[in-house]
Amino acid sequence: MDSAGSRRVPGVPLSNVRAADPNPPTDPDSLFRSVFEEGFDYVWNTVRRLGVAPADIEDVSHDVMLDVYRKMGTYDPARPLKPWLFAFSFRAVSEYRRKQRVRREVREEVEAVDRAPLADAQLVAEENRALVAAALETLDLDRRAVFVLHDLDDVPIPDVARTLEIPLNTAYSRLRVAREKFVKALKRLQARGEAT
Amino acid sequence: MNEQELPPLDADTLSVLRAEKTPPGAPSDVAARVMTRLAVNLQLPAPNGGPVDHVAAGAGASARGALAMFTPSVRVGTAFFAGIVAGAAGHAWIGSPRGLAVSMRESPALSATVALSNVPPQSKAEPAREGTAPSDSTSVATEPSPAGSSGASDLRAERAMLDQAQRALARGDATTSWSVLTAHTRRFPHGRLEEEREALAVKTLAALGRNDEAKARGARFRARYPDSLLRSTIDDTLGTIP
Repeated sequence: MDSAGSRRVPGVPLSNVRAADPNPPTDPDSLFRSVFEEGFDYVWNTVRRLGVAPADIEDVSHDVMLDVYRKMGTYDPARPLKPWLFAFSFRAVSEYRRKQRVRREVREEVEAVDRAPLADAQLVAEENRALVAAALETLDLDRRAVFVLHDLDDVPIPDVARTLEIPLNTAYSRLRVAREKFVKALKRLQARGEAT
Repeated sequence: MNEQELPPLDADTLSVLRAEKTPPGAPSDVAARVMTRLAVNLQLPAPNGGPVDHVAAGAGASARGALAMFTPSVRVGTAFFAGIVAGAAGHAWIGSPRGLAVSMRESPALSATVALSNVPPQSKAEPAREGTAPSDSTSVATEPSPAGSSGASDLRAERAMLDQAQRALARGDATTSWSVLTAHTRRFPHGRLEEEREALAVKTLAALGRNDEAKARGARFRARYPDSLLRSTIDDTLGTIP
């Protein structure tokens, strides 16, 4: 699994694969199949990172891919896939939250993450992922989106702003606040974990 | 502001974030299920454009075969009921040479292609509404599933029942379709395929000439599932009712 969480060729963007492919898909259905293979894991992880309840991740991911299919006409294979898919994911999660009719109060009190004794690198990684997930819960969706796109997906801020359709300064501002809150929450979680 | 003016993340935070930068992907059965739903709802063709892989076909009927069973008017908007075999097709779809190779034997969707005889027999007969439905040759269990039960076996049973109802409707036997749908409602009042059942119920009621009930159920469907992909099917059905 590559850093993009793709199932297919590790680390190779779809555009490169298509360029190298002697028979690149041209019909919409085949192109969508390629996008699905390349990007479904990323969509699933993005939906998860943006705070959808575990039981609903699959359904929301499905809705994202359905929307992707409908909008395949807007897809430019020459551009990075992740930001394009992120925009669909963000809209779907926003809609999910609206439908839930849950007033998402930003949790200032974070729950301690059970820090089991460190056994090996995999356990450390799992523990850290749990810490990240818990700390992300303290961010509202808009700031969370900027943070996930930039600090997890390594998307440059100008592209973050373009993806989320927000002014550049707004993106910087949200990232600054998001980082502050995230780090604060992370330190609290780590402190609580060490205390148990 | 620019990136240089942003306070950087400290080393410890970066270290923690590193694990989340390479997270595990979605479980393979999740990807397959999502693809199944998409393939059926969007009526996507098999990867080679031809008939679905015969391994999947051997388990029951190919997705195209299942679709061919329906009259054109029924096929549109109801192809999702081919989900039983489309699940296997979904795996074949994902498992194209350029994609993830998924063992068909591991496909939970493939095992969902069960003969109707595998549906557990009911412990007691449940008459259809108004007692007009002749008993179906394949008995279906009607005991409601325990609250919260959502195992793979329940999903397979749900699909089997809805497929049975759909086939009955397709061959013009709305009475049997209604009988099965009634049993499905009793057994899986809030099952995972509740939306599909409700859509088929509207069509079946219309086919039975129970127009007022069809309209009422259609209105409830529209209110409950305003963004459903099956809205057009409901709208088309209700549009035919005087």
